[in-house]
Amino acid sequence: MIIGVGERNGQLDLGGILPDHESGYTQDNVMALVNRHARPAVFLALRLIEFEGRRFVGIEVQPFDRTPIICGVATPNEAGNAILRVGDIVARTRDRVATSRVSDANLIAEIIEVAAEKRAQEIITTAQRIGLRLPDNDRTLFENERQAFGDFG
Amino acid sequence: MMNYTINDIEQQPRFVVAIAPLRYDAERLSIERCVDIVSTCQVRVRGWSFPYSNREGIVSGERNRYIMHETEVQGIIKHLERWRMYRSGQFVFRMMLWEVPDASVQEKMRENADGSNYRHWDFDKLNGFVSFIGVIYSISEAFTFASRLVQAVPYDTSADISVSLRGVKNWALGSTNFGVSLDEAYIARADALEHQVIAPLDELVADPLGKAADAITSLFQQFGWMDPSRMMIGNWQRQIFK
Repeated sequence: MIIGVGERNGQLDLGGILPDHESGYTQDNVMALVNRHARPAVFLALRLIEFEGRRFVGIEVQPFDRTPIICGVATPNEAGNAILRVGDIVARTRDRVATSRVSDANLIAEIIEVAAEKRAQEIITTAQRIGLRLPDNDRTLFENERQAFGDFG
Repeated sequence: MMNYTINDIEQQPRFVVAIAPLRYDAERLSIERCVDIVSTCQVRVRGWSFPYSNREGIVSGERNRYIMHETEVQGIIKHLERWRMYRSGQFVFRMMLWEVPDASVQEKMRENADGSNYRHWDFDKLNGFVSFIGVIYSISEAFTFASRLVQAVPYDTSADISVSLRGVKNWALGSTNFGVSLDEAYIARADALEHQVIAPLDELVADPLGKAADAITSLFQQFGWMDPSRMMIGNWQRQIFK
């Protein structure tokens, strides 16, 4: 995400961030604000960017580690209405460059699949660390096959 | 000329190739099919085929799991090579670099390096020279063979391809051609230089020489040659792949 870029009539407005606002965008402030609502916590990295004499704040959002990030505390807007409700998941949309609440069934299925793969990888890593031997995968079978030929470890 | 035998390959600078699908099926091919596939996929672009085989020299390996072939020929150059084609569709290949046993070729590359712009060679620390043009040719042949192999078997997944130069620690890239010299000393600091790629079948079949150029670039970079020109690699490829 880049803070300091607006959009008017479909055109990007590279106005930059106001100097008064810039000081509020610190790593600690943003992480504290976001993680007040995110379960589990999101990992973020902030970078100040200069472009054509204007300043912007880039926020790099890391992919989730084990489970998808879910809204744990609703985020009201200034009018008191909930922008995000408890249980919402937000993600990048497919049709335009934006982030929004996930309502696409296919995207939800994809997120669940990614989470399952990450968890499976974690289980495999743990199993190998404690000495459990897993069934050989195809790559290992090919490696075993050519081992006697030499030069392949 | 050093008198190496087939069993010396593993101790000398060598070119090693492995090509396999991603899904293992130990009985994907019959032994007869393995023989046919290798002979029909061979690449003949410079008076020698990759891989080399004659039907009489092909034997079946342990428990009929593969066929294998060994070549030990003394012609103008010494050629030592062995390969296996497994019934799983996996192919493995090893060849001693032809320039290794030939003292006159080594001397020619040394003179060429000595006469180049680069004056700071420490020849005492070098074990010898690997022809950079030979690397381009061998890898290009290997990827062309791979593009044929994946269609002949056929593979039903991407191809896992590894090409490597082994036993090359303290060997430098060189040239036997006095009109073609390298500007700097590119010396392998590791014993094994390897490029491994999972190649989608459509990309491999459509552009095997492009995939080969990626591998050549990677191996040259592991010699310390960080910016070999794609145009230069393509020009040498076109010398034999007309």
